[in-house]
Amino acid sequence: MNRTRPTSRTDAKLLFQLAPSTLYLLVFFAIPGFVLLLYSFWQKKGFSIERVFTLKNYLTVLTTDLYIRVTLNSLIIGLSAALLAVIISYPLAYGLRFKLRRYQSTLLLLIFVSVVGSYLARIYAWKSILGQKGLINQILLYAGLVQEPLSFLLFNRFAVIITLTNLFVPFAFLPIFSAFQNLNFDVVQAARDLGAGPFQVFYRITLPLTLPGVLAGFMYTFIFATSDFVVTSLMGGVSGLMVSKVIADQFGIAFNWPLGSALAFVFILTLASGYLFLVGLSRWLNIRGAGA
Amino acid sequence: MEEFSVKIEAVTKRFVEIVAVQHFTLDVKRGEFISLLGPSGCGKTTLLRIIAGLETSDQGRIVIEGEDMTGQTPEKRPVNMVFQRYALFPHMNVFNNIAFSQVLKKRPRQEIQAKVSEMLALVDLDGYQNRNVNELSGGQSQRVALARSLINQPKVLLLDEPLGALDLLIRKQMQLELKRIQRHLNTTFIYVTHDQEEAMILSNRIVLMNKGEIVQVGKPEDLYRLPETVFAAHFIGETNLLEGNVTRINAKGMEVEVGGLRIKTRLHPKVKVGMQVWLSIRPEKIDLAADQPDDPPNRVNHRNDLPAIVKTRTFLGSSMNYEARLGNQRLMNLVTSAEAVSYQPRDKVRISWAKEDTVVLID
Ligand SMILES: Nc1ncnc2c1ncn2[C@@H]1O[C@H](COP(=O)(O)OP(=O)(O)O)[C@@H](O)[C@H]1O
Ligand SMILES: [Mg+2]
Repeated sequence: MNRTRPTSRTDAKLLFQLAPSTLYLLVFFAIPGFVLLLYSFWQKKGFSIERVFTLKNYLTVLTTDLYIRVTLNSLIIGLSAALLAVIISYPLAYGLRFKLRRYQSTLLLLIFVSVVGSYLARIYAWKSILGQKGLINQILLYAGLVQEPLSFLLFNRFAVIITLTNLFVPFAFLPIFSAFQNLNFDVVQAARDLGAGPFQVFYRITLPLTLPGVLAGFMYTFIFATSDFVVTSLMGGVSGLMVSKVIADQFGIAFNWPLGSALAFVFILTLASGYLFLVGLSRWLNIRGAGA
Repeated sequence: MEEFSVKIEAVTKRFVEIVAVQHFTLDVKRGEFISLLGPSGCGKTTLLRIIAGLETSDQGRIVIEGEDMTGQTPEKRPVNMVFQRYALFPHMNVFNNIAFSQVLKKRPRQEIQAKVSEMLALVDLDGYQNRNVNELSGGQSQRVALARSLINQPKVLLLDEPLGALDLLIRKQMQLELKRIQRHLNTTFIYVTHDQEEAMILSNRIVLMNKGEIVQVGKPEDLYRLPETVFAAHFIGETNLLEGNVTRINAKGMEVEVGGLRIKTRLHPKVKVGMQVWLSIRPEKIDLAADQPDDPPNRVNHRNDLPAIVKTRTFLGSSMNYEARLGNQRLMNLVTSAEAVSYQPRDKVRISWAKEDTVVLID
C-alpha cells in the first residue's frame, strides 16, 4: 500500500495540471462539436430548425455534385500547398543545418515575425502581387513579354495555392528545421567514414532521419491550408472555391446550419482519414527503416 | 612493404585565430597501438579527423600505407573512426548498423550475414543483431560502433575517446577488450584520450600533446620514468616538483640547490651551471626511515637523505601515503607499502631517494 501512495498523489497532481487544458478543449472543441453534430441530424424548415432526427443532410452532401467537387478541390489545394511548402522548406532547413549556420537566428526571427504578422495583410499583399495592376503584370508589361495585363493570375486555384503556401510555409519549415537540428552530425560523418558518398549519405541517413519532420510539417500545412476559408473567399474565384467557404456560407448567407454541419462533418472525416493514412505511412517507413 | 602505417608530416590546422594542430609530425608503425594523450582542447580530435579526412589540414601531408591521402575524401581512405558518443545510426538495428559499409560495397547477402556474425562474436554481442540501437547500454553501443568500423577491415582504426562516456567499471572492462581485439586483428590503432592511466594501460607508445604540439613521444614506462618537461612530469602520474638552481655538474650527476637544500640529480644534456630547473621525484621512489639523532645518518653518496616531519598519513589498502615537510617547508608526497613500519603525524623522520630518481626538467 505504501508504494502506491506516492503514485496516486502524482496522478492527482497530473490531473490538476491537466485540468486547464482539458477544460479548454471541452469548452471550445468538444461541446461546440457535439452541438454541431446534433444540428447535422436536424432539418431546416423555412427560417427555423426542426429538431427531428434525419440523415437527409448527409444524403444531400454525398449526392450533390458541387459539394463533392469543392471537397475534392479543398483536398487538391491543401495537398498542393503542403507539398510546395515542404519542397521550399526542406532545402532551406538543410542549408541552414549544414552550410549557413550563422544565418540561423536571423532566419528564425524572420519566420517568427511572419507568423505573428498580420494574416490579412499578407493575403492582400499576394492579391496585389497577382492582380491586374500587380507586381507580376507590371514586370511582364515592362519587359514587353505581354501586351495586356494577365487576368488569369488571380481568382483561381493557382492563386489560392500560392497564397496558402506562403501563409503556412512556417508550419512546414519549423518541424523540418527541428528535425535537422536534432540530426547528430557525428552520425552523418560516421556514414561518410564508412564509405558512403554525399548522395548515399543523403538518402540512407539524412532523409530517413528527417522524414518524421517532413511528415509533421506536411500535415500541419495540409490541415491549415484545407481548412482556411479567407483566402478562397478573397481570391478563389470559381476554380479556387473550397469547401470551407461553402460551409461558412451555409452558416451565414444560407442560414442552413444543419446542412453546414453535415458538410463540416463529412469534411472532418475526410481529413481524419487522410491524417490516419499519413500516420500509418510514417509508421511503415519507420519500421521499414529500422528492420532488416 | 611500407614500414609505417600512417605518416603525419608537418600538419597544421587553424580555426580562425586558434591553432588547433601545430606543425605535427609523427610516424605510426604497422600494428601499433598508439595513444594521443593531452588535456581537453589540445587538438587530439582535430588531428584524428584530419587523418580520417573529416577535416582538411591547412598545411602538411597525411600518408597512409605509403599512399598520399592529403585532400582525399573520407570514404576513399582505408581508415575508420570510432566516435566518442558512438554515432550509431538511430534508424537501423544492430545488424544494419554493422552491415552498413558492406551494404554500400554491395557484398552478397550471405557474405554480409557471415561477417556481421563474426563481428558480433568478436565484440561479444552474439544474439544482439535484431536489437534496436536505442535499447543498448553505453558499453554495448560502443561495441556495436567498434564492430561497425572493424567489419570494413580498415588499415588503421581511429578511436576518439571511445570509453569517455562510460562508467569506470565498464571502462576498465572495455580497455581489456580493446587491447585483446587489437592484438587479435593486429590493426593499427590510433587512440585519443585525456586519461593518462588509460593511455598507459593500452598503448605501445604514447604521444603526449599540449596546445596542438607534441610534448614527448615514447613508451609508457619511458614517459613515466624520464619525462623531459614539467608538463610531461605533471601530466603522467603523480610526482613531487621542486624548483631550484644548478650549482654543480660532473660526469655522474648534478647538484641543484632547492631553497637551501642541496639535491643530487641525474644528468640532463641541455642544462648548465646557474640555470633554473625543476626536479621531479616520484612518490614511490622515496624511502621513509626513523630519525635517530644519536646514530649519524648513513649518508650514501648516490642518495639524497634529508630530515623531515610527517604531516599526514593516509591508508589506501595496498599502500600508505604520507605527506612530509622538508626542512625548507616544502611538502613531499611519498608512498610506502602498507606493511612497512608506519609513522604518525609530527614524527621526525628521514626521507631519502636515489640520485638517479631525481629527474631534471626544463620548461
Ligand atoms: N570546428 C571548429 N571550429 C572552431 N574551433 C574548433 C573547431 N574544432 C575544434 N576547435 C578548437 O580547436 C582546438 C582543439 O580542439 P579539439 O581537437 O577538439 O581538442 P581535443 O580533442 O584535444 O579536446 C580547441 O581550442 C577547439 O575549441
Ligand atoms: Mg576531443
